[in-house]
Amino acid sequence: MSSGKAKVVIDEAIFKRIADGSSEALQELYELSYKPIFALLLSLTQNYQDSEDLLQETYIKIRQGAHLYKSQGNPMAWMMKIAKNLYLSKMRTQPKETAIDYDEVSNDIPYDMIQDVDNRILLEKLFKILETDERLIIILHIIDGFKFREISVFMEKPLGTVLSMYNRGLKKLRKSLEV
Amino acid sequence: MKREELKNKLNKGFDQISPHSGLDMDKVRKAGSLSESEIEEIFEVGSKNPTSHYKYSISFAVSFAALLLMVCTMFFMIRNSSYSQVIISVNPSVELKVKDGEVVRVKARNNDAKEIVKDIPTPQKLENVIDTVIKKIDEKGYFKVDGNEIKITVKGKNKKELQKNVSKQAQLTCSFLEADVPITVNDSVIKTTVITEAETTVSTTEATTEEKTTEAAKTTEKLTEETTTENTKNANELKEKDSDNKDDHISPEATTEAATESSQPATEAPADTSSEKGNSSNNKDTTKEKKEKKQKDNNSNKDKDNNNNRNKDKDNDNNMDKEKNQPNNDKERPKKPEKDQSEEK
Repeated sequence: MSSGKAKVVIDEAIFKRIADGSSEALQELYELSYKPIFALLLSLTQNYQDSEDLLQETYIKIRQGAHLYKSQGNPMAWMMKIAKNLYLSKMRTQPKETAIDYDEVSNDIPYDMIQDVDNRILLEKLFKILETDERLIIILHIIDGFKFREISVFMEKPLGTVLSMYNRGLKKLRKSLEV
Repeated sequence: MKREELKNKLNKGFDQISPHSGLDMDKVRKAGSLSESEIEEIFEVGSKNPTSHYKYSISFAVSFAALLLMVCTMFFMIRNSSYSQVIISVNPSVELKVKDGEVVRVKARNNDAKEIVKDIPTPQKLENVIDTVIKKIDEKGYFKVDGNEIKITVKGKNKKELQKNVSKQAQLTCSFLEADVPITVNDSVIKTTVITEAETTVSTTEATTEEKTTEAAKTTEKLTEETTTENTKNANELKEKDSDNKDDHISPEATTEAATESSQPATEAPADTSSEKGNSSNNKDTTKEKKEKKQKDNNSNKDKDNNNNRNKDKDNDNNMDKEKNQPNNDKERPKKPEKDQSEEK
């Protein structure tokens, strides 16, 4: 990565330890990776509470399914996929009455937690102006350190689409901040 | 704001907003083992989402098939558009494919037509084919059936022009055959043979006038030469036919000969002389054509050199010597009844 956060590096051996029942290993993994995963979930749900719940659930699933992990060079992608699938599964199973249209509800993100005003405004814009896919691509690339090729695989979208969405999203953000 | 700055700010923002509660280990410990459906759904083990590629291949196949269909349709449309179709239907129905005034394909549309269609060589001029077809139909006796008519349908390129040619030719052939059959071209009834006969009478009487006699004589000479070349091949066949027909017609001709004598000699004499010169194939077809073309192009140019053809025709001379006089009779044949009619009038 040229700037920002470097890609989270996870030793694949950690999954073996987790599968063997080591709580420390899981804690270690959590500390290493919870921020990118939370960013992804927040981007998907646009709801802080739900994202927290899903984050916990994701690590429970990782603990339960650590033995299913197959060495493929990118543990982060595997964890992201679990988080995303959990989110989709929740969307499907949620009873209709309580189903929340996440595109409509985006006001419960506690932006106050961010001290820096500029950063706060930027994040608000990120969630208010951008489309879900654009936001997701920006977060995956900038926060999670994913390569565009990995994003295209993760989102099941062509590389060209991912790139154009990313650039369009950034342009929108910059434009909104300049006004 | 620069891109790098934007990235930094986003990173910082997310750092601060992330929860600091940590992992709830109690929950983790309480969680049981995964169910089969969870493994499949969340870890994507076992189901490798086969639809995505499959979906594309189907859409590709469908679009390719559609494209192929379009190309084929266009190809056939273009190919067919260069042809015209002439359908002659009495009871036997014959379909002719015409390109640039030439019949390129003759097709039988029903079983009766199969006999008629065979032995018609292609490519050949449309007029000749129509002539042959109508004559063959007459030979088989289909015109004698009550209520039968010649129904001609013209389709495709140059429709109007073809329609004109076809109806003219059909009329001529019918009048020659003395067949009293109504002719319909594209659902519009053209002159029946009765009217055609009357026209023929008029033209014959015209030919008798002194002014046109010499001209007609010259034309006849020329036409005899021309048509001879076209029909040399069929000469023998037609001669036989000719003699058969003659037997039927001799007696009325004999009786009317005196009456027509005044008009005919002028036109006949040159034909005879030409045949003596070398155009010896005085077969039935020649004379028929002669008569038809006389009506069509009374004013056509005369001089054409057919010496080559004459040489060819000499081969047939011997066969035809016997029947030399018969073609003249044939020629008179269609006119004579008309003469009778005019006399009656």
